[in-house]
Amino acid sequence: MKRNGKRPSNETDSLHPLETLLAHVSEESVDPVDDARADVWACGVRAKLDTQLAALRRQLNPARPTPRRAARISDELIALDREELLARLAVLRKIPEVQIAHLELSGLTTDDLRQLVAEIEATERTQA
Amino acid sequence: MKPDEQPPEDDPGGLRAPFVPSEAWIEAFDAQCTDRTLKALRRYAASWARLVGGDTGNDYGEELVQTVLTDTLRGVIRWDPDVEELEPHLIAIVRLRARRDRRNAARYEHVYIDAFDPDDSGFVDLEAALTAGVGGPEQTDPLMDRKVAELRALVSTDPHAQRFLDAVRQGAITKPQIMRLAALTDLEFRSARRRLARLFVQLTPGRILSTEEG
Repeated sequence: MKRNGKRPSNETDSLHPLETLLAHVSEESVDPVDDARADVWACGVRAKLDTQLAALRRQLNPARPTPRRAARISDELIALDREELLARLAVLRKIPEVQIAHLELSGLTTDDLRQLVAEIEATERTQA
Repeated sequence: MKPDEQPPEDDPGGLRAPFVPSEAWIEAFDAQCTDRTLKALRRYAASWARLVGGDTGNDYGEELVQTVLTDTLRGVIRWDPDVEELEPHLIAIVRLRARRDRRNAARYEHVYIDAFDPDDSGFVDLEAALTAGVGGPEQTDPLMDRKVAELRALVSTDPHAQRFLDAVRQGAITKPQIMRLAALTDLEFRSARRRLARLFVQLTPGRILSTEEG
């Protein structure tokens, strides 16, 4: 089959008559026992190919990291106002493992503060 | 499997860019590498085993096909789906490697064919290899000529198979060419091909007869 004006490889080859014959006789199945074995073999090869093709696809489209789900905000935190949240955050900051990147907490909304406290407490629970 | 695990055979220094197939390439391979194609390749490679040597049979054919498939997926053998269908590409590679194995088997008669490195194809760029005449052609191989003559003698009572074989000897390659030159109908062509296939299987298994044997 010729595509895009290019010559496929099999058209450039020179064949011995026995090679030509071999190509034709190979199209005939003459041994039912071997046919059964061929079915099993083809199935196994196809399964391996599927694995290899899946790996190639993953290489093209690497899986994106699953976005981290935000910590759930408890009813208790929802009930706290801004001052109470800041007080709670101050307590959390005394824990050595807790480091808060936000230096200017005044720039955060109350909801942001609530989320921040929830995240820190969730992390603390995970590490405990 | 990573396509860039190792450099291609003709690029030991790893200078060639690693093979990273496109989505279209992967889809084309996936769609064209059917069970039917795999079984056809296996039969083709197993037929070659009869010319290669030893009691390699199906094991040789299966291993050869598996290696050719893997090398194509790894980009060791380049396949361009825009130029050629997968099956003829794989058939051509199987033929090149089987030729090489047959020549090695003839050269090193007492070495098992399995001892030859299946990855050491020497034929990376199929187009270049064929253009340069590497690995073929076999048009003047006396041992293979004799095998054809053996077959010709076996079909002496079957005029269709005889004409089929004679057409091939005269250079017909494709089914239409053989049918035209041998003056065979489609049914006669298939019947003759089946007969030849049975006879081919009955031919002495193992390496094609050496000059000493003949």
